[in-house]
Amino acid sequence: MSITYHPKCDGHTEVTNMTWRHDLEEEEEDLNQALPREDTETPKEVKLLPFCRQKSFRKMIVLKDVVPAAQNNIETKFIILEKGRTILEGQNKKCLALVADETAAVHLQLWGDECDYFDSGDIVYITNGIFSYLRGNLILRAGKRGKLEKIGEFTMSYVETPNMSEIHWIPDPTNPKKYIQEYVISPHSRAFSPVL
Amino acid sequence: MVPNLTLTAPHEAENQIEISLKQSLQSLQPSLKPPFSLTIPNPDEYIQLNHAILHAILTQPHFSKTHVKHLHAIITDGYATFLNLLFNIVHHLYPKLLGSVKHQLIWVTDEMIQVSGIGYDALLISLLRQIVGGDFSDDNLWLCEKLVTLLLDKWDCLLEEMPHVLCSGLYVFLRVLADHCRVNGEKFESLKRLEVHFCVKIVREEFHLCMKIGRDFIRLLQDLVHVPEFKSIWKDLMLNPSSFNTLGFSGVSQIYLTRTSSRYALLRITPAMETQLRFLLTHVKLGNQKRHLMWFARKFLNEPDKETVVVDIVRFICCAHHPPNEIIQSDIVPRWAVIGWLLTTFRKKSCVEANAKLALFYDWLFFDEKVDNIMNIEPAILLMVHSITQYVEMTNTLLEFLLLLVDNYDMEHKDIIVKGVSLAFRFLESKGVIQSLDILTSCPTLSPSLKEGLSRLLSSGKPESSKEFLPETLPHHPPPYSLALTHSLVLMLSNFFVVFTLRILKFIMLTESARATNGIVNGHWIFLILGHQWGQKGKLRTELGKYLHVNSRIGQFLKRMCSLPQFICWLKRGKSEMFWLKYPPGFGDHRSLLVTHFGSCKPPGKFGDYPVERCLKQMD
Repeated sequence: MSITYHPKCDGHTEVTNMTWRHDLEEEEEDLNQALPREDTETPKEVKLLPFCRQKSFRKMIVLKDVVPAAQNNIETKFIILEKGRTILEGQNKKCLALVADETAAVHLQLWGDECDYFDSGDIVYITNGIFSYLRGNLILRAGKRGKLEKIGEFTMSYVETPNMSEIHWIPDPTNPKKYIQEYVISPHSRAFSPVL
Repeated sequence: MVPNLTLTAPHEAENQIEISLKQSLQSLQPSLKPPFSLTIPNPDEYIQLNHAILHAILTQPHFSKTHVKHLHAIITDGYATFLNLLFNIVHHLYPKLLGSVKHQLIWVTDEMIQVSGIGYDALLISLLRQIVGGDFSDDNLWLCEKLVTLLLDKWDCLLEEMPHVLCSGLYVFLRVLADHCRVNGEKFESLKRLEVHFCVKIVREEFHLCMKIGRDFIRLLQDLVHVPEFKSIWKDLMLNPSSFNTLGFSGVSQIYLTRTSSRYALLRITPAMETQLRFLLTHVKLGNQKRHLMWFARKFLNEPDKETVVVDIVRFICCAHHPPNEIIQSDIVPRWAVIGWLLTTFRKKSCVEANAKLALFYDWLFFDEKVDNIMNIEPAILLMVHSITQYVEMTNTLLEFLLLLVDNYDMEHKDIIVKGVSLAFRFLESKGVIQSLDILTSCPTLSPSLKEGLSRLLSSGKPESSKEFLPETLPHHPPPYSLALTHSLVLMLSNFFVVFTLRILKFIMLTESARATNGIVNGHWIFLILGHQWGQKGKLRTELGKYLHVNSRIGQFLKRMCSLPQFICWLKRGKSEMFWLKYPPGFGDHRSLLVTHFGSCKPPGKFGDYPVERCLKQMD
């Protein structure tokens, strides 16, 4: 396997990573078979090497396409814009954060030591995440099966509107298992006021 | 278990370079012990072997000599692959590398210089970039010490093979010396001595390398004039240029006129900083940059000591980041906005702030369109012009600073600087970076004394016209001053085309020939028009009465008057020339006022071509 590095990194590290993923794409065709189908339960210990991520890369969605569901199958990338205060819930810490990509923003819940290791400005990759209602709030989180991973910082642009957590969703009349958007509650996050 | 090269925090993805090195080591570990295989590896295996050996050298200090011997034995490409890999590790991973790995890195760099591996210069320069300006941490000081020692050790070899590495070293260490000389402390002493020794050695023995750097060499050197060794260098530069024994060096102006390559600006920015700055200036939209700026400041400018790096960043943005037209025309954060923000990050007024402004204007001082790049001077003018509406204080401060520089930066070479700055202004105007300099010279919110200074500068930068024109065309005016009073007309100027034909209270006309050297006006006519309706009545008249009859104090008077906005206006020489010839101004000639109005305060747009004749008629 030949590996070519970019002689100079003049853009952002993402570019380098993408190239890597591309390089490895063909060789891991069979590994793809081992990956869980969207509708099946995720096996408990599928340990993905970081560079294998491109497999699921095909499953990667942008935030504006995130729909509430009771499934741990969200795979996406975003930048943390702001972190709220860390609060204790029993033994566990949790913390709400505003995250976004180029298409939309959403509220993310950090849990346990995630609260300590992630900060605003971090670019995070989430695998097997879940976007669902938790005590009335619509939030994205890794949950027990998912994983948050810092893959960079700073070099990502974002929009703050729409905020997927500030949308009112209703079951799809044609397919009750799915949710569709009914109306926008607020164009911006109501928990984090926009920075002017 | 393969050891790590870097410190990875929990939840942080492992980086790709490290993964690939680890994989190579894992698969080739058995073959890294003697007896070494004698088979010739194919190209892929060769790369893998390079990766594996490099990882082993960096993580196994005890066996590094064995591994290096192995490396020497297998090399078939002049170490190009190996050095390219090392370069990538330094460029992308250096700040995260473990301490022991950093030690090994310096050691293997030394080895690579010894064998003259292809690309060791790039590796050294990449290491020099990892020295962080304004950072007094032990890690950073350690790197300074290691590199300055390395450069001194390999002096002869570098001088012969890679003199540009010494230039880069000089640039870096002159810059960090300014940091290290600002603080006192035991731990700095030996390092300071090493750095001074290195820099002085280059300047005294290999001055041609300093000349290669160009004008930024002087900019850095002047921060060190309080250090005895550099004081004497400075003196010799100014008074005794022949002492450098360099053929073709006749004086400091030669260095002034050499533009410094953008590579040097890059040297003082770490790759991480560069990545973020470039991202900011190519992807983030104007109006949406707040958070990114905040993150940048949190990471790179969070301590008061780190302020000095702002100077380097300003220099980087001006000289080394030149966005293409698509970006300039888009809604991406422009360079001037980032510089404006950087200038406001200073916690208190300091010499660092002055240095940052100097960095912004440095290429203006010696501007020559044949040598210099318009992109280097563009941010400053745009920052001044765009600040007028909302942050006029910024425009005032910058313009004031620039005019101070012209007068004081180097009195011996004031002619060069006056020429450079006025040329820069004109060049920016002619290339359409700004539509017209009038935006500054007739800006109502800008301090009048600055506008005066600017106009004077712009006119003095045009030596040809002042020589021929003024003395002949204004023969009937008693030099140097003449005062005139009239009671017939007043004209007040604002941005609008307004002619007031009201009774005048007092009208002073002051002229001065282009040759007058008292520093008030130079090659311009100044009209001061004072009216009943404007200004503070009593005070103004008292002032006026005080100075009207005292010719010698007119200079002082002028200065005071200049602080009253809109009481002073300019007559541009080019536009009034014909008029003066036709209608020489007499004592109390009200028409002079009108010309003044047309000369400089012409409103843009439909009144722009209002003929003088017609206006005169109207006035009569």
